[in-house]
Amino acid sequence: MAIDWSSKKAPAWFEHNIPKRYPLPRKNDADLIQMVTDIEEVRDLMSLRSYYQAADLRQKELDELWVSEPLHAAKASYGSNYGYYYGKSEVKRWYVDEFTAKRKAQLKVYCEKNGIPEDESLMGAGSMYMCPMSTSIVRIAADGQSAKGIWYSIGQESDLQPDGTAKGLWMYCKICADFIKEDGKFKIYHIVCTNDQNYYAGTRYDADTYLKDEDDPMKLEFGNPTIPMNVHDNTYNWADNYPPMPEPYDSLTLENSYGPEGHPMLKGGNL
Amino acid sequence: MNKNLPLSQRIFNAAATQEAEFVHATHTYFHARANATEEWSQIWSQCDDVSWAHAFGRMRGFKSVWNGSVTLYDVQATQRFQGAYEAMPEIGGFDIRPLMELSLHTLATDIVEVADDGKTSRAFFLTPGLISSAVGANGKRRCSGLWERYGADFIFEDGCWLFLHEQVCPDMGIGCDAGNPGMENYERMKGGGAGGPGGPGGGPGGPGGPGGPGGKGGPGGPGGPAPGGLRTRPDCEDPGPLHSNWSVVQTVQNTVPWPEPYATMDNDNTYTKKL
Repeated sequence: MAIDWSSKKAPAWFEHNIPKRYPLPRKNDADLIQMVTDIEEVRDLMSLRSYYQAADLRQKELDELWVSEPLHAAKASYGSNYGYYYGKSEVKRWYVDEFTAKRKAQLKVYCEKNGIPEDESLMGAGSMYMCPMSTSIVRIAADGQSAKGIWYSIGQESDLQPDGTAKGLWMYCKICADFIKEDGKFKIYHIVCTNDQNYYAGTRYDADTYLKDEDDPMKLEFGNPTIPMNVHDNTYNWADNYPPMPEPYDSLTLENSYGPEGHPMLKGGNL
Repeated sequence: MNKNLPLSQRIFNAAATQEAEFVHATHTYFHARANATEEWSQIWSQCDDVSWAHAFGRMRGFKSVWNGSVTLYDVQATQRFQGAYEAMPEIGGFDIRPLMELSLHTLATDIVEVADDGKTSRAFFLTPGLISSAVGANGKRRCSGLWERYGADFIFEDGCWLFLHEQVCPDMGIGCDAGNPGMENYERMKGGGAGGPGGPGGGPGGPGGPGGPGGKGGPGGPGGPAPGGLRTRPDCEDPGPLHSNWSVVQTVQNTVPWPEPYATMDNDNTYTKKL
């Protein structure tokens, strides 16, 4: 039966809430095109990061795409559901060093199974890590010195196993990041990559609602973060709304960042 | 994009192109939390010309869209909450809407055109996505894939780019883990085989339809009335079907053609023609 709108009218003041809208910033041509090109620079930066990651160029990514000024590097972070690596050296410990150790072990397997001498130029053979970026929203700070963005990634990891077989892992991740200008270029400052589901391909997925560690490959892979904590709990879908979409903002502070200082549990100096 | 415009208009249109992508992405993230109230309050025009369409039909006018996309969608959330509560009693006090499921439609392969007059824009996307939940029908985690395409019109209103029309065309639903959508569909059409993961139908922007039963069955349709008797299917001013899920006998569809450069929005350049 059709709705009878004429007799079903809510009070006007709460009928559709009060719209919270974000007008396109009023700027002159020069400032508007600066904003447009800044947004594209940030999008390209995150796409380039994805290409580096897929090519196992993680050290190059940290060297070229992340912040390097000491004050920024000390507060740089990489977060996931299970905590944060805090400080660029800690990010490197996990993101580069542990990953490289894994690849070296895989190289040994690859060379043994193929009956060839171990050759580091073959590092990465038989494995792949790929996280395409989509669904972006990028906000440039009003002061033009920083940016915040959100992406979604349907990613996959195909990994050579110790017995010479391979395993495919699907990863569904929301990725939020802060960027700050160094020498006039945007650099990655904080990344938080929360996953919604991850599971091995080719098998009926029947993990329990409350995941055990052995049912959560991404938790195992995240190692021992500097700040172990529940950053995002995918048991409840997006009920925690973390990390949230970026909104227009004036200037980047640690408290409004995607670093641990900006997490609801750590705000107010609780880090 | 028309390049024979004054520089100032071209700059404005470049920014408008990004805004069309961001407004649609904002929909993606609101929808992933089932935050229909926020979506239709914040990123939609509220004029009589708005429309929202899915396979099952098109709602016209803000009141109709609000009823179908917000009111009835929230009804689905309340229904799902009962099942979720059985499995996770600690969820009392949560916003029940995101507990329903995570329905995430990524945006890829964008084609965006901004009108020469700068008053409207049009966008086409392919959207590979997923619907996941920590509590499926069998009490286990579930994750289904959903491939769709979007045709969206936007309007520049009081300094904001807002949705004016949206048409969602669901093409395929698959089990993310071990599904073979082609063979599963073939088996269904032949009248045998196991049930597939269900069609990617659902209420407006809503959850996918239930798992397809074994035996012969057509493409999954929109979510109908849920157990418990509460109605969740909206009334549509333009009844469907407007688009059909892929099947082994489905002919090629071009329901929401990509936008071409245009001067101003009219019946030749819109995803909802005026009646």
